[in-house]
Amino acid sequence: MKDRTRVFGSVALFALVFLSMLLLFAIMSSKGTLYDSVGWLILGVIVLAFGVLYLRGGLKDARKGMSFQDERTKKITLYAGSAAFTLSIWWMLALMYLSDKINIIPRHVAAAGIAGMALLFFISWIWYDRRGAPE
Amino acid sequence: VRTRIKELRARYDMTQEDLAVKVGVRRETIVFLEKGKYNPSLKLAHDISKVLNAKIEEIFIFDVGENSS
Repeated sequence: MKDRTRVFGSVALFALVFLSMLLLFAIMSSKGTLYDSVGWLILGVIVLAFGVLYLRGGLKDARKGMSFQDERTKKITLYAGSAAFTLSIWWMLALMYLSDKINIIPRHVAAAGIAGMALLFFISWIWYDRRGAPE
Repeated sequence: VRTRIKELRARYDMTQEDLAVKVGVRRETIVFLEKGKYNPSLKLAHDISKVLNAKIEEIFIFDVGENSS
């Protein structure tokens, strides 16, 4: 029951985030700012890819009676979050530096920052899931 | 850390899935444990030792000098 709630919560969260990104993309596209809206679509696809990857294995295991989330997956999420946070600081600093050098408008910098954070978390999670969390 | 989980599992004709269900983890965790790529918590080590009917030190073998401080 606890696992079922966790699965339902995770699916709902990923769906909500993805639909929000899709909605932002649709709203901005309809306003004629297709160039600006593509960033939200990319972000949505990253969230969707991560969601599918994360939930696919978990659901398969849960159906067989195994735990959906165990101590290893919790550790991986913790390490991935920590690594993504550290890398995001450097990513943001690089963006701020580059925004001065090459003329990027502030909202593009913000969008690239958020998309970069999501991507970094996704990559970190894959990295620790495949390589194992350091002890 | 090296483990004898695979060997002991075979003794009881148990699959990775069977063991995972019994100790309440995902199958991947058992895979990582068998490869020696994951150090389990004391609770998980205890649960595995109960299921495999062996002492913790018989299942998990720490190489001398590893993580020595």
